Amino acid sequence: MNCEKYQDLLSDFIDGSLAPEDRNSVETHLNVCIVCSEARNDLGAIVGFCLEHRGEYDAVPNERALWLRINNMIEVDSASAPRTALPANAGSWVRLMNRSWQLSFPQLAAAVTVIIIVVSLFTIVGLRGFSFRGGSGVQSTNSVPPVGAVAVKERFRQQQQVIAYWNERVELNKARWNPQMRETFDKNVGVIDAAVNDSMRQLSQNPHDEVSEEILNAALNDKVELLKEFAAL
Amino acid sequence: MAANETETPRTPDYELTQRSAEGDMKAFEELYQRHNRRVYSLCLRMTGNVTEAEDLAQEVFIQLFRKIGSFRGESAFTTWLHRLTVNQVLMHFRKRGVRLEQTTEDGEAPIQIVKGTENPNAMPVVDRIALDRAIVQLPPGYKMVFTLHDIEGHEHEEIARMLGCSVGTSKSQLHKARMKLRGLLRQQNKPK
Repeated sequence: MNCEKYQDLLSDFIDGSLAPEDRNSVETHLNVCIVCSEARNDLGAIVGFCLEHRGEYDAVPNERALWLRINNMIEVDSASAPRTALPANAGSWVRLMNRSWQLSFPQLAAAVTVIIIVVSLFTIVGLRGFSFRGGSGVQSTNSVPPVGAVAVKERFRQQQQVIAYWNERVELNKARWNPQMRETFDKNVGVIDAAVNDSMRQLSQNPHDEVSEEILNAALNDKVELLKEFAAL
Repeated sequence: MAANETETPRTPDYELTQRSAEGDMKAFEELYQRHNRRVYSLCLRMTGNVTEAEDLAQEVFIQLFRKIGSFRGESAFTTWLHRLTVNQVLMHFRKRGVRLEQTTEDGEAPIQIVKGTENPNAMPVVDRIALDRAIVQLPPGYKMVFTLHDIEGHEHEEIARMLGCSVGTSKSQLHKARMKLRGLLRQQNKPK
């Protein structure tokens, strides 16, 4: 056996897993070969150091921040998790609502047709009622309180609560972001906020402006999604 | 930076896992407090990058929360968590497309020690910083086996099961890892 072969056996020699005859052979060689003996000493030093320091662990740079990130991710996970199994005593309505629906194409087509017919019927009935009231229709429209405006304000208030919650989460992580990330976040928020303010201004001028209402809804939803994404970073 | 995780647990890990499985985040936080260093250290040794190690540790704990209900207490929680961490680290390397070397096709040139060319002072006294710096430079397969065997203290049979390789491969990679580390530590000691 040459030095290379002996060196191949050194790890097993150090770990004590060599057969007795191989062990004797390696020991004999180490007594006469400085190079292999040096290699044995070096490997022994590495293994010994590891053994001596086993059980020592590095600390996470910021344990608390890491925990907050984990906690946040778990919360997001739980919020988007599929519904769990229903208890045995759940009512039929609950079971119906929790059922996963899979429709074939004919079933889907039939369902769409039924919806179209029902909507058409309601539209016809509604139009008849409107024409029956005649000219007073305009009058009555003006006298109706601005229900749409109230609904928009309420929805806006609810969305703001959700946004405030996610904003807090984002603030916790913000300190860890690099300047580029912060800039990206601020730019995105700026665009969304501009859209929100614009829609709100439009709606304050015309509470029945459905387009502005839709834009407002979309912008608020976008903001929530953006905050959720950045809260996870 | 290094710290010893020897605090005596107030509540058994198993009880905390049961409570965590029921959604008790306080119990899960306690598990995190007890084991985050162990998980992070393994991730850090494998990646050699603080940010990457933190991200990996985060992923390990999220996976842990998802799977904690399946822990039946048949083995020690630390063993179970360790396997989860190793799997996560392996997945991380697979995602990155890093091949874990096999002894037959690693393509690693063996470290040749030519008489008279080596540093006369031989390998420096091993210290934590030098060793960590050298471990980072190991190919992932070597790094994994070395970390599991020499640092974490697992047997080759266990490592072979974890990594899905033979005991012979594990032994061979460990030897190559040690030899490579020796070379790297010698290089660190060479005068610039």
